[in-house]
Amino acid sequence: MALEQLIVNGLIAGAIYALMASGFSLVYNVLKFLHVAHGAIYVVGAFAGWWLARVVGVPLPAAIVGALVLSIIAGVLVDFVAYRPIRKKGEAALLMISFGVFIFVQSLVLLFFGADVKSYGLPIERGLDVAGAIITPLQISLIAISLVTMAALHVFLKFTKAGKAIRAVADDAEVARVVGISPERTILVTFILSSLLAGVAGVLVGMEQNIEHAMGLSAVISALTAAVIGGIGNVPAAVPGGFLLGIVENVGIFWLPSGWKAGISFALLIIFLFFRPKGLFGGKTRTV
Amino acid sequence: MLKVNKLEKSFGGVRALDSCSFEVEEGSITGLIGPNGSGKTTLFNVVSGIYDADAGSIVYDGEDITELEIYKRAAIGMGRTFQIVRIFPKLTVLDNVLLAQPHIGESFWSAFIRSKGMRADESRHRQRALEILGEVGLREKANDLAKNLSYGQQKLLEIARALAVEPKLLLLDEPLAGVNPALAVKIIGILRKLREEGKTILVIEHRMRDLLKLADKMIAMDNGRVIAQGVPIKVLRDRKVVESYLGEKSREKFA
Amino acid sequence: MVFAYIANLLALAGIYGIVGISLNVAFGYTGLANLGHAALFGIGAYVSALLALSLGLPFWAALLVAGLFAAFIGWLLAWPTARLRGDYLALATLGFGFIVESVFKNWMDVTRGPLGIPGIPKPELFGFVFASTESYLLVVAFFLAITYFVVKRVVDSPFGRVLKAIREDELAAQSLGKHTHRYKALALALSGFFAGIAGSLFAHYITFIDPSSFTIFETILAFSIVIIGGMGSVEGALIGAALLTFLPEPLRFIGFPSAIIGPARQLIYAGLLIAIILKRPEGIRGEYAFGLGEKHAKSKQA
Repeated sequence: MALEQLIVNGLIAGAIYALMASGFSLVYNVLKFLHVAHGAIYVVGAFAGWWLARVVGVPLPAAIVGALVLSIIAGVLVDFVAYRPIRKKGEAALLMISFGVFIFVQSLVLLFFGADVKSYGLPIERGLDVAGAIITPLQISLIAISLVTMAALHVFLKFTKAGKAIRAVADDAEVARVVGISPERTILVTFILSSLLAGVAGVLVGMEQNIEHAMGLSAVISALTAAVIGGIGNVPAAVPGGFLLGIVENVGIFWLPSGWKAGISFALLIIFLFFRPKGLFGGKTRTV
Repeated sequence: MLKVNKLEKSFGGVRALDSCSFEVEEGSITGLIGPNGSGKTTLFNVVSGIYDADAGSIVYDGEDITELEIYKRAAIGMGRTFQIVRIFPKLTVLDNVLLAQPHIGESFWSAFIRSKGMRADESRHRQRALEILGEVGLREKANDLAKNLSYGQQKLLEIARALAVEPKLLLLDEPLAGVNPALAVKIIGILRKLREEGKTILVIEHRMRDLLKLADKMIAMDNGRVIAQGVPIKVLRDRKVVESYLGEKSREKFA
Repeated sequence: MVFAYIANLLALAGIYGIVGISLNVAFGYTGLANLGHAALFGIGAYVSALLALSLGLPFWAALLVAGLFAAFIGWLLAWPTARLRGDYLALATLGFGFIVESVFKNWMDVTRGPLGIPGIPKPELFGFVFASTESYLLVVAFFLAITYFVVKRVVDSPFGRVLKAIREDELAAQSLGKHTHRYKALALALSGFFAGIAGSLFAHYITFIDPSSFTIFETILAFSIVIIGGMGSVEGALIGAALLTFLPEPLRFIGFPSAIIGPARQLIYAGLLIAIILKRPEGIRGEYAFGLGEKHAKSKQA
């Protein structure tokens, strides 16, 4: 495949990775653990959109909104049921329960929807020729929506009161409480945001490609790899991290057989963990 | 016993240790004082190897140990307690002490091949561990889980562990913090006995009265620097030292 | 007829019991969350299968070499990850697991990729072939017993004491003079050894292996066994393995089609994992519940 096409493919993939990594890093930033179940929320978003649009028959825009709402509900529910009771038990417990939730949700999706691949059934579009590569209007919108969403996230985190509360609680929940911020409410907002991001990613992928029950695993692996590349816990850095991963992965198969695509991202993960664990831009890590 | 020369340590942009130099004589008790944030614990962390110094040297018993790994420093007789107690909570008190003792057949293969010599060794170490616990008064608690001890008892356990290392140099980080008067007296007694046995002690403390009675020498720090060292009474009366403790108040006056 | 069915479950439970015990050495006792544990299991399976098939090595030798090789990989894994803590260790071992899975899937010349390796021979001893399920059960039981006694011996020894100290507070252990990196390497080597043996037992039992048996889901299954059974308890791993092997079986009798049984199984063990962490984190037999929270809460003030 031509290099230009691979770069375009990389941008499309990167846009999704950036969305997922932002949500993942956001939770890590505030709660300091790896929210692997983030991949499950993504699957919920993708399937909810499909189900509403193709089974229930709702017009697509409403289905998308419904899918986002359901993603948020799913994410908040996960926090409430699985994370909240064990907040103080440490990162290992949270990580394990997060895996448990991920597998639980994926199995539910498999049981309810079956193993076959599903499609949102959008009309096939003609690709546009941009600098030698083919890209469809939908794919362009995908990249644009991803960028706009993350810009909105950035504005929210930097300028709104809730955003500042998130940064305060991320820094030190007890001190935040003392100045009148409710950590639990802030955590709720955090999960609303991250689930929304996962839901957007899920719906976008659903529209652009097909969906199947196991899609969450590769999504969350990409999310955490991109987050590590940018700097885990560093939300803005997830954006370059995601795009970098997308491009390196796709351009990488210019030289390597395509079966090794996944291997490229694992190799990147390992390289960064060993040689630059703080990522490109520095992450928010635990002390000690 | 311990000679520290122009130690430097920075974190990010913050200078935690700034050209620190001092000496600790063998068989003495030296007090290390300074307001919060002056770098005392950082100094301990560098001396014990938890942090690497950015510059400077540490000479212990004649040897330069600046680059030595943490675990090797214990092997040459450096024992240390922590400001916030770092015992092993879900292990028994006895296990906590046993772990501190050097050369105790902890190799992988000795799990399978227990020669008679090793078994005799192990029971000797057990005896010694119980003795040490007896010295700090924790003998009856030997089989309790460390997390079930009271705060004061945990501090004693930390000290017991530091003793079990059979140290030549003991670094004690606020051994008297938060303990009741009776226990404080006990701990001071233990420290005196250690000095009699020829051990060297460097102790961070805020309780000046106790330090005055105990210490042969005092070192004062502020902002990562050693600002005074010498005879305890003189150091405590040194103007710079007094100012470092009152620092905030006087700065408020002039602001 | 019924006995063959039960024997099958027992054999699987036994194999998973060994997996659980091997993970316990690394995670329950030493506190190393090796999210690539299934990779060690898989390496044992593939090495044993390949040695038996291409070199004609007898099962017993293939198993031993598989165990030693997996031990070596475990040992190797320890060094670059020695300085990594908590989340970083989890991520690195996760990456390791995925890389090994990638190798299984892509190294067509050796592993035949997704085609897998069929026709793995059964163990033989003095002419007797352990072909039936019941006879294989004896083989599994034999190695399970060895695993149990060896690991028990190790964890109750002074060496095991150091492992537990590393789990509780690695820095404090270093301050007491323990070369913790070396202990962690030995723990991962021991963990790898028994995981490799379990892998070999698995390969020669099912007689066909492919990369899909050695994924992150199998690793989480192993963690579920350890956590549900009780971290830091060798008996707990056995109980956990038995529970997770036998519990989903009644579904078969209620009449669910086998397409449902697979995901239902995962649902059950994931659900149990969640429930145990929420309600009884020390597991059924655990001496040790997740305790990292306390240490980190304290260090916030440091």
